[in-house]
Parts: sequence; structure tokens; C-alpha cells
Amino acid sequence: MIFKRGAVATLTPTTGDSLSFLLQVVWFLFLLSFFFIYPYFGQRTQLAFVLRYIEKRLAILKQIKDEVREQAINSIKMYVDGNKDSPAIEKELDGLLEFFYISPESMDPNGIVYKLEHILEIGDARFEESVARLASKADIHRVKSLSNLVEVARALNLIYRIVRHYYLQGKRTSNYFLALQIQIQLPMIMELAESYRQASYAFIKGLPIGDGIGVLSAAKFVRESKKISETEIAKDTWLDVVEFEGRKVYVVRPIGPGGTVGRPGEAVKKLVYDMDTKPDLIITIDAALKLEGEETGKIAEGVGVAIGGPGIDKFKIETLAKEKNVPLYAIVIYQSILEAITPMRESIVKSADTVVNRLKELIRDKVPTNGTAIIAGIGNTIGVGL
Amino acid sequence: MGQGGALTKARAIPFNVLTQLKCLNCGSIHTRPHKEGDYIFSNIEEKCPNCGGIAHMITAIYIEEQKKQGPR
Repeated sequence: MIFKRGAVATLTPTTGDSLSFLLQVVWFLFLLSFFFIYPYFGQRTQLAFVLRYIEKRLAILKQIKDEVREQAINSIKMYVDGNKDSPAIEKELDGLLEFFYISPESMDPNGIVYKLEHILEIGDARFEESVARLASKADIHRVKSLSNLVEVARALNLIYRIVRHYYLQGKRTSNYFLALQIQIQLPMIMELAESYRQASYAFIKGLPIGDGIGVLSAAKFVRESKKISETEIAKDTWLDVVEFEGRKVYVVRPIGPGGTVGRPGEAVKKLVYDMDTKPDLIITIDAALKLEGEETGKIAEGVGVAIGGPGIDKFKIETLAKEKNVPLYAIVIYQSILEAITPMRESIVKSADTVVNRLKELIRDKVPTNGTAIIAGIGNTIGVGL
Repeated sequence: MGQGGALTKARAIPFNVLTQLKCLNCGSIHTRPHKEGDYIFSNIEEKCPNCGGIAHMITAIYIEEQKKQGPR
């Protein structure tokens, strides 16, 4: 403001002058905050918001983790020998929740699949043996379902620990972008945690889950065909040999009603190499993840091996199919991750009959009369008996 | 910035599980609430509402779905 001689009258400014002065002050403060205050404090304020968002969801994750852990303890207690007390069970279960697998070194990847198989076999056997020792009164199928329940609790424990790690790291370093990384993924992580929580219900009650649709479809096909023989062909894996319209069909699936995925890769390998089966076709049936907006229970056909997991079974079947020049066909049933690990939906159950019809069409089309086919029902067989 | 801030208390799992049974005598299919020990392809003894037969086989176990919108 410029003061002029004779400007006494202006010392008592008019209303218009006051407003103008006020607007100038506001504008000045805005420029000051935009160029000096905001760059320094703005990101800190945003960081505080992000950390608070993560903290709230971390508390929910902890609650879910503790809830499923509690459920696992209560389920195991139902099958515990009277001598074992509660703190001992909890201590042993907490050890299982921290159980880990170390992947084989991949610098020289030749033979890595069999190394991974070896590690997983030892780990799975150790895990199941620990659960069986805890729940000594449970039968083999119940032990497998309880093992699945403990696996779910283990997965939730891992999710919680990872989210907590990024939260604490972001807080300690006051790094906005570090915290933002986990905030962006949190909606999907929360959805996954809730899926696991609902899945624990299925494993406690021994209910079939969506992932078991491949097994159910294969089992239904067997029941609609003429059975020739049956046997346990590999660990936790069942073989039915049936006759369908003049063709010999080998149907491989995990042994239920306990929760297991069996070893379909090992079973098909045994069929082809040890039992000298010369298949005209190998079909795998499995659940697949649907995209947003797609219908649950939608069925699709394709080529390749429809097997999830670490890839060992898939590798074995692909290798022998290439060597023996056997076509590989796959039938998948679409569902979300939530639907795959929670009790089976009606729409998924209904798709089993459609899958069986597709199987029959495929066999009639691709396998000559007196030919041979191998069908592998892939998935977790909890709640689905032989 | 997302959902409400209140901590979630342990919520009951909202499933209504049904067991589908097939009468091995008359072939009729009916459903009932799931019972402990039910599993698919197990043989159980329950009275058939159609023919009065005892022998049943469990053909499906699933949860009731609420009506959803079609694919977008």
C-alpha cells in the first residue's frame, strides 16, 4: 500500500477498499502455502492419511487371522488325545503357522521341477504328519481336511505379516510411495483374506469347494460309464478304468472325501510309462479364474494342461504328451477366487453335468473305437467321495 | 478413501448349505439342510418323501445363491 501526503482520509478505508485488501491477503497466503508450505507438509499429510487407512485394514486382517487360528485350534481339539493340554496344542499349531518352503536355486534351472517336487513332498508330508500327531483321533480323511484348514491359517498369517511389514516400513521411513504401494493393493488383499476366512468354514465342515468341480465332473463321468477296475495309482490319487462306447477310458482323480489334490501328474506318468498305456487323448478338467463380469459356472474348452499349483504335475503331463505325441485338451469351469475356495455354489454344481456331456462329445470325436483316453479330474476333493 | 473405519467383529458366515439326495429306489431327487458327515457319493439311509424307500445317495452339496444380475 502506498501512503501519499494528504491521505489521512484514507486511513479509515471504505468497505470496497477493505474487501480488496482482504482478497490481497488471502491471495498472498495462498501463494505462500502453495510454493513453500505444501511441498513440505503436503506429502506428510497424505502419508498420514495413507498410514491410517492401512492401519485400520491391518487391524481387520489381524482379527481375521486370529479368528481362523482359533477355529483351527478348536477343530483340532475335537480329535486330540486326552493327554495333550491346550497350551501345547497352541504352541505346536503356531509352529505350523510359521512353516516355510524354500524354493530350489534357479540359476541353473535344469532339473528344477524335480528338485521342487522333492522339497514340496517332504514339506507336505511333514505338515500332514504334524497335524496327524496333534489330532491323533482323526481318520486319514479328517487329517487331510484339518491340514487344509491349518494351511489357510498359515496363508492368513503370511498375508498379515507382509502387510504389517510394509506398513511399519512406510511409517518408519516416512516414505509416502512405499506406503502407497501396499495401499493400492489392499482392496484385493482384503478380498483374498475374507475368501480365506470363508474357506475355513468349508474345511471345518468338510464341504465341497468350488475348486473341486473338476473332480466332481470326472467322478460323474465314471458313474455314467461301465466300470472295469479301480485302484490307488499314486499317493492320494485314484484310478478308475471304465469303458465308454467301445473306448477304454482311464479316469484319474484325488481320493476324497478328505481335502487333497492328489498327484495327477505322477498318476498319468505311471499310466503311460509303467502301465504302457498308449492314449489317443489326454483331457484335464479344472476350475479357472473368471474375469470381472463373467458368469460363474461358464465352461470353456481349450488345449494344454489345466492344472494349477506350482507346475510339477503340469510339467510331467506336458513332457510325456510331447514325447508320445498325445493331444492335450482342457475343459475349465470359470469362477472367482472366492467361489473356488468356499463351499460350492449351485451354478458350479450344475455345470458338472454339462462338463460330462462335453467330455463324452470330445471322446466320441477324437478317440476312435477301441481307442484309449485319459481323463484327469483336477482340484481339491474335500467333500467329494469315491 | 475406502470402507468404514469401525473394526469388524467376528461375523457369522452367511451360508445356507443344502444336500441333494437321490433315492436309489425311485430315482427322485430332493434337498435338505446339510448334516455333519455328509459328502458327495456317500450312501445314507433316509426315508424318501416320494416312495418311502430308505436307500439314498448324496449327489450334490452346495450353498444357495441369491439372485444376481446377469453379466455386464
